[in-house]
Amino acid sequence: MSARELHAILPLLILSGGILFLLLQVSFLRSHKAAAATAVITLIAAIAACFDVARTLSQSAAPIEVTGLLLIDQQALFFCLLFLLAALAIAVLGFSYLQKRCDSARESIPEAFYLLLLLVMLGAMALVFSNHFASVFLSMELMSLALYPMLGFAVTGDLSPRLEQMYSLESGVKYLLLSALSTALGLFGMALIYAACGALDFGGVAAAVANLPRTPSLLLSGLTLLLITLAFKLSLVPFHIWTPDVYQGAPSPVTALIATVGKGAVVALLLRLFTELELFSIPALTGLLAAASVASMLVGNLLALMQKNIKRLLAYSSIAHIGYLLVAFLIGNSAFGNEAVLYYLVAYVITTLGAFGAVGLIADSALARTAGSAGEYVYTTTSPFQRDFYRGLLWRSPWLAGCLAAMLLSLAGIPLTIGFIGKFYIFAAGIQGQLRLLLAAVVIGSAIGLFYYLRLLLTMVLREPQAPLDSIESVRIAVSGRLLLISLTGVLLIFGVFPQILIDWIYTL
Amino acid sequence: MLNRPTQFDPATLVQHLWPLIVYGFAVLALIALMLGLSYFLGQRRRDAATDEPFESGIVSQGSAHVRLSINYYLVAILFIVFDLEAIYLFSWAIAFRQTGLLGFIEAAIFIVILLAGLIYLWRLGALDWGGKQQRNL
Repeated sequence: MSARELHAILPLLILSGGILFLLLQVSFLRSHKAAAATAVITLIAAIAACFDVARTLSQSAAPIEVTGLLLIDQQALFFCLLFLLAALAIAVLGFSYLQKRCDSARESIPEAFYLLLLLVMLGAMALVFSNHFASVFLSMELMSLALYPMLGFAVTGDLSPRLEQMYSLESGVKYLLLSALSTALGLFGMALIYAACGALDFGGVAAAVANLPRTPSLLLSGLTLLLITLAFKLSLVPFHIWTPDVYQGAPSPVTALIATVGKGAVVALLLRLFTELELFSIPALTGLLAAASVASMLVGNLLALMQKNIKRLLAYSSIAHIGYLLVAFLIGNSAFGNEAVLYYLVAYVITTLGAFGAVGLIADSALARTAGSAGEYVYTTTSPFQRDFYRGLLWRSPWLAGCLAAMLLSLAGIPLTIGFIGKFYIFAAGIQGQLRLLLAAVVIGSAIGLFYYLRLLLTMVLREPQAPLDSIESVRIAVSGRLLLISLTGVLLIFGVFPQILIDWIYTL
Repeated sequence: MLNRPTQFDPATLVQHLWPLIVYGFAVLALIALMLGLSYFLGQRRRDAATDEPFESGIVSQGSAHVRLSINYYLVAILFIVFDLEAIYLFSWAIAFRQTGLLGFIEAAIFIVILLAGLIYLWRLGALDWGGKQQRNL
């Protein structure tokens, strides 16, 4: 391994070093604040390293292959940058979530959250870089294994409400079982691909595919099984059953993590897999993806339609959004399709992060400590995740409602938000690729989506009918959470009004 | 050169695999024979002791649902984790001379990471048996 290769994986090395340092730090200095600070510093250092490696890459203009397992190119670095920024936001959200629920003097260990967050990031980044089925499997497992305890993390907070702990545990166990099943299918798929091609690195498989007279059924079944695993991680429709339960039960920052980084990394892998192996030319695979995409758009939006729980609603809407993203993906190996996927993913990550962040912070503010000696926290309302809780939010906290409204409008694809530009890209890509059926599904899905996003918006504007004005208490949120939401809304508007900045950046990749 | 099937062909597969298929059917037939014979030839009776578990002729005592300490599982899983890591060290040990200095450095990094994990577990009290002890952190 040369110095050049070592430099290319600098972001991964920094993350690994940060994890080790945090392990030792937590062992000898139990402090929630210090652990959060170390995690944030590690993430910022990794972001800086991403820029550094990107500068080296732009000088040599050739992707760097590291030991045949990883391939570092500009596009992968762009994905990494996006995920690292998302992780930074999740660290802030997690701090707000854990501060109220964990009492370090007692048995809970809030520091482990940051360790697991960094491990998920390590897995996600290795997945984005991976160029070999071995590294794909390894990094996907690293990501999933770190996510299981994170999904059940409410149990660690000894002050969190009892019901929240039970839901969180359910979420973790459900994801563990289903994810293990899907991973087993994917592993079998990889074995079949190896049996058919005699190679596991993407280059070798691509060469074998090109040499074969026609696609052998063994290879096809292997690729299909692998696609099922990826569809499970992306919660595309026949494999989406776990999504609402897991998203609802998990702590809100972890829901944001699994919805943004967890799905985004798999999209990045899918993009590289299809481009490197030239799978766009196999109609069976693109047909499967198209069917899953149409089903995701329709079923996801229909299920969200009558949903009263906000987290479940956002879970269903995230199913639909990955369906939209696949439309751009399916127009084949073209620069425009690539650009559309990247832009839509950026829009999806920013918006989803903001929506789950706002929901989580609102729920945190509704927590109040009980008077009893146990000191357990309970919610002041029946459930802060129900739509009724959002009635009149605009009058209780105008700026918070404004941020959430911007996120919802972006999810619905209203102009002046980043979501509109993303949706525009999807339409343009669909028209360019002549994908009429998919476009019809996009239109129908968007129309249904508009209804439930706007209904939630309307609920926030409604005044409390009976309560007098002076009894309304405002929503109190920590400064860090406020700054995060406002900056996310700012980015959403800037890229919505001036999309050229981001388009130019993606274009140079 | 790798000897790999370019096409999944059932006919040649059956040709290669027929002994295995015959063996599989033979196993099934043997099981059917054993179960069937004992079903038809065996005697049937319903006594008071028919449904009791048979344990070498001794009447069993108490319930099998023994509650084990949760610490047992924790220590067991930690043992499995570190045991698995040791396997990687074995594979390094047999190729110690071939891998040279680079291999040594890589193995050292691996061991340091394991050590950091062990320190973390120890300081957080995962290795304490029998409840939390008073510790001054």
